[in-house]
Amino acid sequence: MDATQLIRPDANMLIFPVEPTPGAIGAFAKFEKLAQIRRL
Amino acid sequence: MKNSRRSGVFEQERHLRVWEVRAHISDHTPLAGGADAALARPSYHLLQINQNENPLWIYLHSGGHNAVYYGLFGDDTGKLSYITVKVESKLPSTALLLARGPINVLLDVFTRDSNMPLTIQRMELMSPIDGDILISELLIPSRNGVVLGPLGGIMQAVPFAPYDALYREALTTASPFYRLLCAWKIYEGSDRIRKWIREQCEQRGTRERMPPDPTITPEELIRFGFDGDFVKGITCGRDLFSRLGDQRDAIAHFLIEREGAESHVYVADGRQLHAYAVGSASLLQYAHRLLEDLRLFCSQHMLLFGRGAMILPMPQNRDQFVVRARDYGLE
Repeated sequence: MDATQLIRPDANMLIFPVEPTPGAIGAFAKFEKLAQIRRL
Repeated sequence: MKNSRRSGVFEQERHLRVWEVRAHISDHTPLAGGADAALARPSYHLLQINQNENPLWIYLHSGGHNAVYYGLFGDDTGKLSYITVKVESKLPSTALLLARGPINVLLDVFTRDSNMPLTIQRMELMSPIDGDILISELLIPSRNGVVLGPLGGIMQAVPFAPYDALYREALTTASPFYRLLCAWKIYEGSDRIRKWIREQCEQRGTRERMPPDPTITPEELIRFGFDGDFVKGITCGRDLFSRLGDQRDAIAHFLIEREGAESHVYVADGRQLHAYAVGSASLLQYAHRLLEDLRLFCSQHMLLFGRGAMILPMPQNRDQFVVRARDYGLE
């Protein structure tokens, strides 16, 4: 009775906060942008 | 109300830059699904840009030298796609944080003048290097899902119904301010359901101990986004709710007095929104955990839900089980 697995993995990764708590405001980025974010 | 450690988590070097931040506008915020699906969700609103002036550059003046310029970009039909604002800061996270306020203020003015329900669906920080989207900021949607059936039905657990209603209110709102108030009401009301359970236990001679207040570690609070200093000394739900008491008071009233000074939560401010988002998401999780512990206790030790003679509503008799106005004292 679980449809959670119907959701595909996201290309956008949660970079803040660590805990993906629904209702919190999250910052997401694509993997290829992470190095640029660190440089900036 | 600084309780989150958001700033400075993404970046190492710090050079002053002018960042472009985009806000996608809609009449709703996605609440369910993955991040990719939430980011791709179409917006809906009735704010159009004149086709001959697309993008439209307008200012919002707050007097003196204080003005902000905005770019309003429409799609092929003229429907507003997003609003841009420029922010000068060293940290990209600060740019995202500070852009939300001026965008909200512009939407407040649109709503005041034209009664349009407008909200920020998501924010995007644009890369100064390649012009791509660097960071997207949005309400973290819930990835939970179920497949229903076959199933006869569900026991409601009636004494918990008011708490269930508040929990759904909290989970379906896009506002962290309202979510915090709902979470607070659930936790505050837990004293009442504990009292009721205690009475039921006494009547039944049950000697089992009720579940305690949820334990909390500083590490899990930091994973929510709280600042390390803020979480010191918090070990249980009661500590956290007490520590965030000022947040509750400040949103429950227009003004609050603290140490002889008045303070006020300006809900357009991105910094306030982030502080309340962290606070409300954590409070709601602990309030829900507490209620689930108590519900489980009732199911395991008291047989409260569905005890005694009870009709079994069969599918072939479903026409007997309708909502009746007379049960509510109505015609």
